[in-house]
Amino acid sequence: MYDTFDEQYAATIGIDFLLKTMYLEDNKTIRLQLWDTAGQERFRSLIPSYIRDSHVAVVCYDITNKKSFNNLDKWIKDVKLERGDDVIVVLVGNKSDLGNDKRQVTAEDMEALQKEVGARFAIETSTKANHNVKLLFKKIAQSLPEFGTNSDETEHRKNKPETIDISVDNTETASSSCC
Amino acid sequence: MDFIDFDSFLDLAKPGTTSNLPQPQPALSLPISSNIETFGKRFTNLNNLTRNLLSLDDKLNEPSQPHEPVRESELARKYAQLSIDLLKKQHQHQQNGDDGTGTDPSAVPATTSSSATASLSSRLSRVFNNQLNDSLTREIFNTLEDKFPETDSIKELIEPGSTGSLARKRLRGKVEGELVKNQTLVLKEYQPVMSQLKALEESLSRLNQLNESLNSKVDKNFETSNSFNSKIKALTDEKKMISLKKNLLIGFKEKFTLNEYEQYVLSSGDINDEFFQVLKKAEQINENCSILLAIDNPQLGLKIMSKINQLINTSIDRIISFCNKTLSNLYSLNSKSKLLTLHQCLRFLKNKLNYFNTIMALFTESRSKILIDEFLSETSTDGKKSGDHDSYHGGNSRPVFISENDTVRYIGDLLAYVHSVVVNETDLIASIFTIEGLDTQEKAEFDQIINQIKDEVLKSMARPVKSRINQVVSSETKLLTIYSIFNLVELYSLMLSKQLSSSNELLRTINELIKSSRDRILDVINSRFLTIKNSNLAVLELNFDLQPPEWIIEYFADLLPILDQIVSSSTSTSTVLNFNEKENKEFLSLIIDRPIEIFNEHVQTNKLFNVKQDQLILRQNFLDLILSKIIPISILSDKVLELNEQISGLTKELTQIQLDYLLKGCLLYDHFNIINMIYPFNDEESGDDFEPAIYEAIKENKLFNIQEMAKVNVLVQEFLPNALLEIQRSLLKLNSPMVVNDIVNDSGEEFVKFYHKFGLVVKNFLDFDFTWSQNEVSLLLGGQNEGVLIQ
Repeated sequence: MYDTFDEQYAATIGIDFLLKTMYLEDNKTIRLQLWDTAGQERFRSLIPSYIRDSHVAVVCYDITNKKSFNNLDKWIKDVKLERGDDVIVVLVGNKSDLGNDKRQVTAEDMEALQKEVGARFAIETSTKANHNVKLLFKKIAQSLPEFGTNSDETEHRKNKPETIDISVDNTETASSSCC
Repeated sequence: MDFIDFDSFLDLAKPGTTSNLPQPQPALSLPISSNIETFGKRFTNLNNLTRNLLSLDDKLNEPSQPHEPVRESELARKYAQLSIDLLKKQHQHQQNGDDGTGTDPSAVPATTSSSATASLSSRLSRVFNNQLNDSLTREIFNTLEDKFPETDSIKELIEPGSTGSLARKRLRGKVEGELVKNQTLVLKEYQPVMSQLKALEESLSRLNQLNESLNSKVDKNFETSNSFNSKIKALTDEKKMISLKKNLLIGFKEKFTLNEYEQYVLSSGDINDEFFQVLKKAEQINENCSILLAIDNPQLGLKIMSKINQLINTSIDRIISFCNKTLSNLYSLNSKSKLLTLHQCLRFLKNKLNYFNTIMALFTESRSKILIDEFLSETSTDGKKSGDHDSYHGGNSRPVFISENDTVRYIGDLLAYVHSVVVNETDLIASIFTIEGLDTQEKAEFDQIINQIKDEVLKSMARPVKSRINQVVSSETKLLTIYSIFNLVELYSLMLSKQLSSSNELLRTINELIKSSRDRILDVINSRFLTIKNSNLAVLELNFDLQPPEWIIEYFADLLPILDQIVSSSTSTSTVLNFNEKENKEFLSLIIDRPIEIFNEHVQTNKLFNVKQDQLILRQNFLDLILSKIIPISILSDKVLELNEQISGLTKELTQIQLDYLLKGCLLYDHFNIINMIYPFNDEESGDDFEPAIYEAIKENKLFNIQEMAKVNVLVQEFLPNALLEIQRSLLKLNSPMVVNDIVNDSGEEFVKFYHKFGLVVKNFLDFDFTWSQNEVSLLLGGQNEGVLIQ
C-alpha cells in the first residue's frame, strides 16, 4: 500500500489499521481505511466486529497454497453473515511472483469462485514484486458506490467524501507483510 | 660720479711728508660681492633709473618750471661755498703763522694735505673698497686702455700739473661722454619699452577704470543679490524642512498607518495571504507605537494604537469566526486552499494563546459532543441511528446491540467501534492540525497540540465506554465470559496504545476496565466461595459416600477453561491475568486453597463424620479431585506440589489409622506404644543390627509376660487372615487406588516390622516365639516388599 515490501514478516497483533488516500482520475479523492485482521486464531473473534462496519471485504489467499484458497469460503461466509449482500467482496490471490514455479491455485479456480460467491472482481497480486497492488486499490475505490458508476442512488452525497472501512481478511498463513 | 682730484696727492708725493694716508687694504680683505649682488646692485640702479623715469613722468605731468637752472646754480653755490670756506680756513692758518705763533709754514700745505688726504682717503677707500674684484678692476682698466690706447695720455693723466689735470678732465670727459653714450644706448633700449608702456598706460588706466566700475557694479550687485540669496537660502531651508517633513510623514504613514484598502482587507476582505500580510503590518504598527508613546505627548500613539487595535481585534474576531466555522464543518476542509487558510489562522493565533485555546476548546467540545452522540446512538438499545452528517459510518452501519447470549461480542463490537473512532479521530485531527513548512520547534509545538486535542476529544468517550463495559461486566457472572471480556479489553488496550499516549484518558479508562474485569473475576470467585461457604446445602451435600461435593466440580468446570486459555495464550509472563507476583500468589491461593479451606470447614462442621477416617477419606477425595484437575496446568505446578504434600499427610494419617487397627486387633497396641516410648524403632535398623537388649525396661510392664504373649499369638492367628479385607473395605470410599494401595502397603509394612522386632524382644526377655513368622504375617497383610519378607 505504501509501495514498500518488508522482508521481515511481522505478525499482526489484533487488528491493524492503514490509511490510504487514493486520487482518482476524475479528480476525486477517496480515503480508504483498511483494517488488517490478524490470522491467528485467538484474534479471529475480533474480526466480525470490524466486518460489521466495512463496505468492502478484501479476501486474500496464497496462490501457492491451495488450503488458503479453500478457506476462502469460510471467510466469505463470515463476511456475508455480518453484512449480508450489502458488501463488496474482492478476491485477491497473492504471491503471483511465484506463480510459475509453485502455483497451486489457477486463475480459472479463482474465476469460478468469484462467480460462485458473487465477488465484485478477482485479481492476482504480488506484494513482493509490487504487482497489481495499486490497481487493486484503484479498482476497490472505483467499485465503491459513491465513486464508481453506481452513484445514482447517492446523488445527494456526491460532493461529500466519506471514510470507507475496508476489512482485509488475510488468510495467508505465511505471507510477508506488505503495503 | 666722483673723481679724486689728483692734486690732493701732490703733497703726499713730496719726500719727508709722513704719509698718514690709509693704506689700501689687501685685495683679499676687500669684500667681494658676488655677481648676483652686483646684479642686484645693477638692478637697484635699474630701479633707481625706473624711479627716475617715473619721477620724470611726474615732472612731465607737472607744469614746466625753470627748475634745472636753479639746481645747477645751487650746486655751483654750494661748491663755491665750500671753496670759500676752504680759502677762509687757509687764510686763518696763514695769519696764525705770521703772528709768530711759531706755526710751521708747512702748516698750510699740511692742512691742505690733510684735507686732500681726507678727501683722497674717502675716494680711495671708495675706489678700493668698491665691490669690484681685481679681475673686474683689471677689466675696467683694460677697457680704459682699449678705449684710450694712447700711452702718452696715460702719462699725461698721471701728471700732477694742469696738463695732467686737463688730461684727466679730458679723460674724464671722454669717460663721461662714453658713459653718457653707453647710458644713452641703454636708455635707448628702454625707449621702445617706455613707448610701449606709455601706450599700455592708457589701456591699463582704462582697464583699471573698467575694473573699478566692474568692482563697483559687482559690489552693487552683491548688495542686491545678497538679500536675494538670503531669501533663496531661507526658501531652500524651508524646502528642505518641508521635504524632510514630507519624508517623515511618508515614513510615518508607512510605519504607523494602514491605507483604506488595507483597512478594508482587515475588516471585510477575504482571509487569505494578503489579509495576513496586512494583519502583520497592523501588528507591527502597534508595536511601533511604543515609540510614539515614549514622546512627550503620547496622544498620537494612543490614538493610532486604539485605531489599529480596533482593526486587529476585528481581524482576530474574523479569524476566530473563520476557524470555528471551518472546524465545525469539516467537509469544507476538503478544499486545499481552505485548509491552508485555516493553517495560517492557527499559526497566527498560536501566539495568542487565549484565542487559540478558545478555538481549540470549542473544537474539542464539538468533536466530543459528536463522538458522544455517535457513541450513544451506536450503542443505544432501541437501535436509533444518529442522522448526523459527521457520522463516521454515514448512517450505514448497524448499531451495536447488546445480546444476553453474547456479551463478549457486544463488548467486542463496542471496542471495535471505539478503535475505529480513535483511528478516525487521530487521522482527522492530524490532517487538520498538521501544518507544512513549520520549523522544528513549531512542529513540535503543533505535535503537542495535536496530542492534546486528540486526548481531549477522545476523553469524552472514556466515561460512556467505561459505563457501558462496566455495566456489562458487573452484570455478568460467568467466569469465562468475564475472562473473555478481560482478554478483549486487554487486547484493545494493546492496540489502542499504538495510537494513544499513556496519559490518554480513554486508554487509562481501558486499562481501568482491564483491572475492573479482573477484579470482577475475583469478585465472582469470592462471592461464589462465600455462597458455598454459607450454603447449608453444600454442607448437607456431604454424605457417607465420602465423595467431593458437586460445587467443586462445577467450580472447576468454570475455572478450567479460563486456566486452559491462560496457559495457551500465556507468552512470557508467568503470572495469570497479568497479576504481579504477590497478586498472582494470592489469586492462586484463592482459586485452589480457598475451596479446600471451605471444604475442610464444611467437613468439620458436618456432624455426620465422627469417624476420623471418614473425614480423612473425604478430604483425601476432595484433594484428589482438585489435583486431577490442576495437574496438567503448568502455572499451577506449585499448587500441585502443595496438594501432593497435603495428600501425603492425609495418607500418613490414614496409614496410621490402619496400623492402629492392626495393632489393636492383635492386642499389640499397648506394646507398640511402650516399645516406642522406650526407644522408637528405627527404620534403618535391619534385623541383624537390632539389639533387643535395649528394651529391657519392657520387663517392668505388667502386660509383658508369657501369658499375655500367648494371647497375642492366638489373636494374631485369628485376626490377621481377615484384617486385609477389612482394611480394604474401610478404604473402599477412597477414590485414589494408588493412595489405597499406599495405605494398605505402608500400614502392613509397619505392622510387619513391629511384629518382627517385637518378636525378637519377646524372645530375648521371655524366651517366647510367636507362631507366625514375619514373612507369614507379611503375606497375610498383602506385603509386596521383598525386603520386608526377607527380614
